[in-house]
Amino acid sequence: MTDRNPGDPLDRQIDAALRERFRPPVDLAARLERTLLQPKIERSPRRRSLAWVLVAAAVLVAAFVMLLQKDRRPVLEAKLLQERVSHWGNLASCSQAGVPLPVPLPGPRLALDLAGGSIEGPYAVPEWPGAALFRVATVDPDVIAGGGGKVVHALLVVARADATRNRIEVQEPWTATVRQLGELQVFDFHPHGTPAVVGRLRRLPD
Amino acid sequence: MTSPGLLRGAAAGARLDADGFAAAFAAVSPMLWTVAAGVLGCRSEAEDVLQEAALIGLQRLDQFQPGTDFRAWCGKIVRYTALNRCRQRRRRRTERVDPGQLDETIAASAPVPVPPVGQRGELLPGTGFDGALQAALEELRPTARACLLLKVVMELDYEAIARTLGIPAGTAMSHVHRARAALRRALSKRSGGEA
Repeated sequence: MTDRNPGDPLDRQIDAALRERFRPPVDLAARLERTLLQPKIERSPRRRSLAWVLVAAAVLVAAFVMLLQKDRRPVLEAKLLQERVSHWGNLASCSQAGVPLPVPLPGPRLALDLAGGSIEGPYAVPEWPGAALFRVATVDPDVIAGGGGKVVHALLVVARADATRNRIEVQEPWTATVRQLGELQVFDFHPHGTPAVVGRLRRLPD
Repeated sequence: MTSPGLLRGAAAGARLDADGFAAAFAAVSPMLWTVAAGVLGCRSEAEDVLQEAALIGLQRLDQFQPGTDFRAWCGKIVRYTALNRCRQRRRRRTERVDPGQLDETIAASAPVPVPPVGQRGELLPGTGFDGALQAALEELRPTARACLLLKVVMELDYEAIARTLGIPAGTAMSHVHRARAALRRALSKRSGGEA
């Protein structure tokens, strides 16, 4: 099969035009050979993107470490409160143990909707300025503990920042949400155990 | 080592290092440039594509099998790189300017031709033979255009075109035949219209 008619003037014209239009630059080889080598490789897109990946990974690791520290701090601090809190659970034992009674903070009380019980507070924490404690007063153990005979009065909601706000809803055992409260964590204080973060309180959508 | 020597070395089974690759790539660059220009349908981005393809080739130099056709290996990389560029260009919808042609025009001290512009400011295809040829070329599929240019400009035979683009020889022949027929048809129509 032949693709052209050599005698056809139109074919000749097309060929000439294509050769003219698509003639490779005369100094192409020299230019390429000059520019192709190492400097280009060092700036290759793959290396650049690898650098970005490394930077992003470092940022993620740093953020993760900060988060870990943030999580650890209240737990460690809460350990210091454990003794006081466990005594507060049983107010009668406060005087016996020489633990000061909880001091209600000024300002509005918290209005709580707890199935089967209520939360008292906020109370001041002398060792923990800026924080407030909320004591679960009378709650059906099954609601809060999910069964199992837990010492209910030792459940405290620890508000780290500004604890003068509206209401806390316990939606299921050990998880809660809060409206217009800042950073909140729910600690489970066992009288003879290590306090642990058992839930986080989130803002309710308005 | 001279460039033809490097090419022979690569074909004979010698491993290429980066310097050797650059020299060998430069040696076949006119043919590779034609592949890029053919796929893209214009000159302006062909060299960019060639450089991009060269970087890809360098990064994948360990994948080149010594003893195989270096030109064909590079040709396939250039073709796929150019096809990718075509896809990006379709997304960007930018207009091309051919710096080579502008340079030549300025050097010849001729007035710079003003491209025809539509009422909404869009570029219209040229009305002369070159404009009609360019419009007809743009209607061709990229691989067909590359086949045609390799045949006409580089005067490769169908086997060589096929090896360079990584397609069967029969397909290359068919592409050239149909591309030429399409150009002939478009340009005959223009002649008929002018008459």
